[in-house]
Amino acid sequence: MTTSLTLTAPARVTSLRSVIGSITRYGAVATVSWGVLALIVLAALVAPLLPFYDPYTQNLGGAYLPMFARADDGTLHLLGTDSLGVDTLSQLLLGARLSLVIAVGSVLVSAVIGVTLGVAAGYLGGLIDRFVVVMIDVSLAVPRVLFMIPVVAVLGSSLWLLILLIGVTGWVVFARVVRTQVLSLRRRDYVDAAIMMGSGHLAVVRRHILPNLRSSVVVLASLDLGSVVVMEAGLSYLGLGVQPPQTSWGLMIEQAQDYIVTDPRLLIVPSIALVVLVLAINLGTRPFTAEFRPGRRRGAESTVLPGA
Amino acid sequence: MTAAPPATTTEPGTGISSSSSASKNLLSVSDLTVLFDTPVGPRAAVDGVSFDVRDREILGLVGESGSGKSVTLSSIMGLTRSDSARIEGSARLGDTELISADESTLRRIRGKDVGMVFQNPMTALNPVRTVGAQLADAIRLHDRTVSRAEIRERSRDALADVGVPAPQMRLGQYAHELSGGLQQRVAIAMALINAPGLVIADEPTTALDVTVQAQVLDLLLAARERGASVVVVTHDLGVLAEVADRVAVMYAGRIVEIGPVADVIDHVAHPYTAGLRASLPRLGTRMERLTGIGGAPPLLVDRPTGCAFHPRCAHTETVCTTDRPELRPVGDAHASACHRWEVLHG
Repeated sequence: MTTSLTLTAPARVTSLRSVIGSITRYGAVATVSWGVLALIVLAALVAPLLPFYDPYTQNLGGAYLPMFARADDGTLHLLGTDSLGVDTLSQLLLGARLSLVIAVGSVLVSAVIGVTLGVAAGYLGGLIDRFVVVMIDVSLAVPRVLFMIPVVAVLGSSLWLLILLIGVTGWVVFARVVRTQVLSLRRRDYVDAAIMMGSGHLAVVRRHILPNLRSSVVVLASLDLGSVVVMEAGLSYLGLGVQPPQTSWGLMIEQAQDYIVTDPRLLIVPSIALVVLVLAINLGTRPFTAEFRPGRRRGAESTVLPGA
Repeated sequence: MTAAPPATTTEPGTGISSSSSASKNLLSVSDLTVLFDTPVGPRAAVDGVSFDVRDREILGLVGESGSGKSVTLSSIMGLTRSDSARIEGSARLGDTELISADESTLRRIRGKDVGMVFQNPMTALNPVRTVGAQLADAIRLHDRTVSRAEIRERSRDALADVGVPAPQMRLGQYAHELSGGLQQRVAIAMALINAPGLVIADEPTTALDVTVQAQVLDLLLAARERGASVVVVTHDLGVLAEVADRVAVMYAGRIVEIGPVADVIDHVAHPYTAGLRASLPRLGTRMERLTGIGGAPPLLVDRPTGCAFHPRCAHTETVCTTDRPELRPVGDAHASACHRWEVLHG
């Protein structure tokens, strides 16, 4: 079928057409998801440059304005205003910045800790393995939020603490999967072959273990990314996360619940944003499961998808 | 570090060393024992194995699954990494004792002095890295100064040497893009790329179809032509008959017969070898059914007393159930561990 492709040296991607081609080859769903993700990231990045961006100015005279309404001073509020008269679209963009930073940051922290411990446990075995397994069990037994509440209560809430907390409590997802994969990977013949070629253990891990973990770590990260956005929302909802006047989508949802009857728009707008973001992340990263595994045709069902 | 521990008191072989004066020994294994922890205590998967590999010789190790062939070789190269394994005895490669060698010594020897070819080429190549990257590893691990162009050139030559067509193109390919035969050629190229003096091939033809098998065997012969000694592990006596100079037959962790391949095949001196030979299918002779060896190899935790083969042997006498036979010379450079070898010896 694609023999002609595999027999020629891969051409360097240069033309715009091939760039578009390499993006769209993952299918319509993924392409759209990436477009949405790019849009959200772009909007969050350039938000301060937008003319209407003003997430802090209150205008009590212009509270609860509906969509597309103008305030007394003539400012257009595309998504209306909240209970204090702050522009909802501006808040949504500010919230996107925090939600994304927290999501990406804490997933990175989780992944680094989880992969490190997982590889150490799976590759070295013995006491280290037993220690990590116990840590995993303990972490699974203690609800993450239960661990976070006292820490935030003592240290106070801040962006970095939030990233660190979510990250540190989320390593188990990575460690568990990575450990079991490494257990089987290190018994592969090519690991023995590498050792028989004179590789040291660090080289084996770097060249043979880690590259083989890539696909599952990407999948786990994508799943985790979605759930971390929701977790941040939940923490902010509980009052442990982002504090006003900063805002995140979770905090917006929390604040909106008081007005759920009088002005459901305040609840619906950030909720839709949250759903769209999480969906875009999950659908957009789905093709990687198959793609990062050479020898598998794209679209093939992944076998490593763990339960979120 | 140049760790060459003082020679331990090793036994001088078992009766077969007398004729080895002709050529030098590259690898000398003596009294190698590998003990694994089992629920009923430590048990020997390899039990006092001694053999030599001479310069430019192809030695075959043959036996059923579980007879200890692979464990023997992986223990020698320090690949038996299990907390529950204990390795005793001696294996000397040139002047270096391998069994007690530290990791950095072994690392220097592996790939440079000893190359290894694995049974299943599909799993011996990393699926997510290109052939070129893996060949480059093999070179760079033992020579950090080589330039990139040099690596490319040597990789290409190594592939060409083992008969890989369009070697330049293969460097950018992944294992899954190659056929099984090509994969095994690449694996062999990787094992040979630093021109090791000893090549260990662990069932190199088992996963391949017959025509490719012959080609792979030719590569082993070619490696010998270039001055390497080769140890071939297999359960196929037919493979050994084609390429090996000498054969060591293993059963239940011990060498039960060892000698020049023609002697072992034409003047069988152990009933187990006779059974292996009888179970070979032959072209041109129509058999109702293949002759197998009755019964199954003994479990590691439940080895019979006396000769481990006696429950499956047609020639068992009382002595076989009580005394364990040692390797004794039965001919020129030919030894057998059987109380009743004269019965078979033709």
